[in-house]
Amino acid sequence: MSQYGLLIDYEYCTGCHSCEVSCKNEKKLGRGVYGIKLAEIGPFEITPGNWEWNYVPCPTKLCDLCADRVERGEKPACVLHCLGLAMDYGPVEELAKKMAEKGKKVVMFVP
Amino acid sequence: MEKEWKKQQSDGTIVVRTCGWSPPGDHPVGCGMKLHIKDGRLVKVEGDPEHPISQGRLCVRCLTLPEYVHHPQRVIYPMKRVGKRGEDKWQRISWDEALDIICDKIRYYTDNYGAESIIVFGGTGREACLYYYPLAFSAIGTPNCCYPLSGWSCYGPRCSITDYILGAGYPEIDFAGFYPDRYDNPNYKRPEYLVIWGKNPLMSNPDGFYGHSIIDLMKRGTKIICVDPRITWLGTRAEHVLQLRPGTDTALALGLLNVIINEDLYDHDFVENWTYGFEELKQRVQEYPPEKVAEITWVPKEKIIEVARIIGTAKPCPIQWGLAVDENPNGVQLGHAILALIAITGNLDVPGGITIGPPAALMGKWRMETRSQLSEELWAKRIGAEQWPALSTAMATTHPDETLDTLETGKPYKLRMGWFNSSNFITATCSAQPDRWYRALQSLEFNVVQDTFMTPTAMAFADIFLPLPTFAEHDGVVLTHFGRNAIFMGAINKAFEVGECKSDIEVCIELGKRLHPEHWPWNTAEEFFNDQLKPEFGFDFNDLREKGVFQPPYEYKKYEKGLLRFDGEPGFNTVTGLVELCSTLFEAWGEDPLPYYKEPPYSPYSTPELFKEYPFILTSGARTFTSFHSEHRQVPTLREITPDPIVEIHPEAAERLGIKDGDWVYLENMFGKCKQKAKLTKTINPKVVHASHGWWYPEKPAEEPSLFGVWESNINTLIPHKHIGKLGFGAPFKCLICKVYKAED
Amino acid sequence: MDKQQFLNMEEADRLNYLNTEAATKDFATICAELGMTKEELNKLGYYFVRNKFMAKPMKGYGTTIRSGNEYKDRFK
Repeated sequence: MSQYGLLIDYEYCTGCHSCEVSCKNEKKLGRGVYGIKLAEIGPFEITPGNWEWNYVPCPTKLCDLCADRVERGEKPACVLHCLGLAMDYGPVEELAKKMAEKGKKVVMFVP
Repeated sequence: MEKEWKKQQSDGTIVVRTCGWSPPGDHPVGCGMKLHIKDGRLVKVEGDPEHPISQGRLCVRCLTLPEYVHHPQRVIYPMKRVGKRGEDKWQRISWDEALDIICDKIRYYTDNYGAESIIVFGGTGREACLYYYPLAFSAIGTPNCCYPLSGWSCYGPRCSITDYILGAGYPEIDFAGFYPDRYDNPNYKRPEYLVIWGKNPLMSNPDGFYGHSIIDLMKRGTKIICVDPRITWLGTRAEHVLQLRPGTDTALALGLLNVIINEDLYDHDFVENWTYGFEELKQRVQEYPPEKVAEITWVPKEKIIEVARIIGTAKPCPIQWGLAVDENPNGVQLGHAILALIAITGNLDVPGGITIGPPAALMGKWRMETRSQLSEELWAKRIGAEQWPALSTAMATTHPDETLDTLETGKPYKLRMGWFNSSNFITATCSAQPDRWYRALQSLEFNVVQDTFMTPTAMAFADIFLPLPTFAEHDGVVLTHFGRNAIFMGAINKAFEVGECKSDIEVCIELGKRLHPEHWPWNTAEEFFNDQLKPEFGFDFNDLREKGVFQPPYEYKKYEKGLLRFDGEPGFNTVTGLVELCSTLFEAWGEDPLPYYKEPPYSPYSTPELFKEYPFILTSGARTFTSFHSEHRQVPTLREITPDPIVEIHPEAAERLGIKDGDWVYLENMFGKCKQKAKLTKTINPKVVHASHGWWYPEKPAEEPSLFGVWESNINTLIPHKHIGKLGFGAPFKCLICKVYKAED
Repeated sequence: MDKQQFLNMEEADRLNYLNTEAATKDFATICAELGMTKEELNKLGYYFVRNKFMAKPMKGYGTTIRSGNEYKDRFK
């Protein structure tokens, strides 16, 4: 059986927090507890006009890749609600292929 | 989409498909979602993957809807004030009692002082925008319906300018929203470049445009140009950012036109056949060479030239104009110049360019038609209509600044009763100098407030509070751009009830039936919507529910086909029948017919002495993901993400002032002051600060003088009254001056 | 023709009349003969543009007549 993972295209993660909140809804988590949490890197200027500013949501050990939802044929809550459509779920081999195709600003988590 | 919109699951949960609008607010974006109801409570909100625009995506404001709906502070029964105004003393009453009291008062003021002594105030964006006009004109019978934002500085100016210059409905970028198969449709063309001007659609979803469509387009190869005084997240992904001095946008637009015209990069065919006044415009833009524009705007000359060349040659290259067009006394000229840029570069009404709605169409028109139920004599009493024809011709409201003057002076007549529909405007949402409005509004003798929570405005003024249902609790129709360019239309479905709330249209019907039954033949919201939909589309409300979303077909190049003018002739619905690069109407109203630049009323150049004392340019109003203007401050999950009002300051400026990241600071100028929390960031110019709007503190004391801490962080107290453009539009919300110092208290 | 006679005409006839006059007379003469100012004509929705009278086809919310350009009329 293949290992499953979560792919984040952080070129297009706009920092909307929908993953965080939809995960809290799904897992019924209280304040200050997260199944996935948004991290912010930047903004800082590397050379004039050349900025780095990234958001990357990081799953925690509370993340089970929405096993119940996936079993019902649905997407994980964070993947469904991501405003930038910047998240994907699947077998790590498939996601690795997508990462190679994208070529930049992409990361995979296996929580 | 699936026909069945309401389903019961095996565990008893009822799942209702709906399209969102408000309250809680947003513009009419109509995102698709599924509401999960169990034992009469909203337990979960999920995105609807079948929705052609949102495709399952959903922002945090909808995802936290259960917290809003079942919030302990929400008002869910009609209430009558039993203490003095400003005291938190209320008594629950029945709808019958509430409506009896209200109707008695309306009849009393109408009989004794004329219906014009009653005024309806409406807020921005919420569904109320469709209903507060007929509430005034048709249910109450007053000509005075007011959006209390100085210079009408939100959307209205852009709609009016479009009407006068293009003779069309609102221009929106073509994001393939008309097509069920979206970007893959063979009639669609992806924009090569997209210019986003004074706007951050990712957070604001302006007027129904689904903001993250921009991300969809970027993934498909569209390149972005941002015109913004701040480097936003989107700016870091843009090919160019024109980081201009706040309020100098019109100079920039004229500079871009200068390069495009002088380098012969415009669409000759379009200019010759479909525009009026090109030679005059060409002459005017000679006054704005790039080097001069660079000095005014602080945007380097080379950047201006480079971006102008892109706009002139990229195909298509739509420009999406934002709130910065409205919140500027020089904004009419900015809007005019941007429309000229779009038109002469051949981006108007073409695939992947700018779509335009027909001049008046779709359901939204009904709200304005109700004005015909008022006599001409009464209509002529509308406050400010005579003095400000450019505003009163296209907008069916009073002039907002004149309305404050009327409240203060009792001239031309005294206003006696107020109806506040979905507007919390003593909070920093729209009114300039809200403290002055607050004092002036004390003169009203009787007030009704319709809202979901006890807001500072309601606590200060309501005598009767009528509770509104959220969009999950009532039936409705959501259409983008309020019908002015309806890219799609969706059904809002009532899924359950909380307390005894009635929607805007339900209150209109009940009140209308009591006061003007001849105009209100409908018994339910559904009957009303059937009558609006059937003649126009041939289907009724239930059909729309089953469709979920309806995307009307779109016709490009309407001006060639006689689809823009009422007489069916080719051309545009303007005086000359052409896109008016030189405006016949502006001239008739005493304004320059051509766009020109005017320095903001307060700036380093127009008021250099004052600028020594107030050495920052103050801009405000950028949105966040977690609130719609003054809404959502009481939702715990959202407040955890955005706990405080933030003012952005460049670290160099902050260091000079001894301000550290996270310090509370005062912003102060000639007009007022407020307190916000400093965030140090290099994304803003060291001479500019950006402050947050819409802040109040639901956790602070409700009663006077606190009013939920409404005066503490109220940025609009720094914005002056009636500093508006010559045609009555535009106020300097985004281009003032201030000083900043550390708060020691 | 004086102002009252002009105002008594049907809307469509007014524009025709003005343009017939404009074929032989200049704008100032037409105004003087009618006893009306440019502003008065503008207020009625008539504008003198490049030696020709033109009318604003829609008078904003001054009129509530259906446009004939609604959805059902355009897409049958």
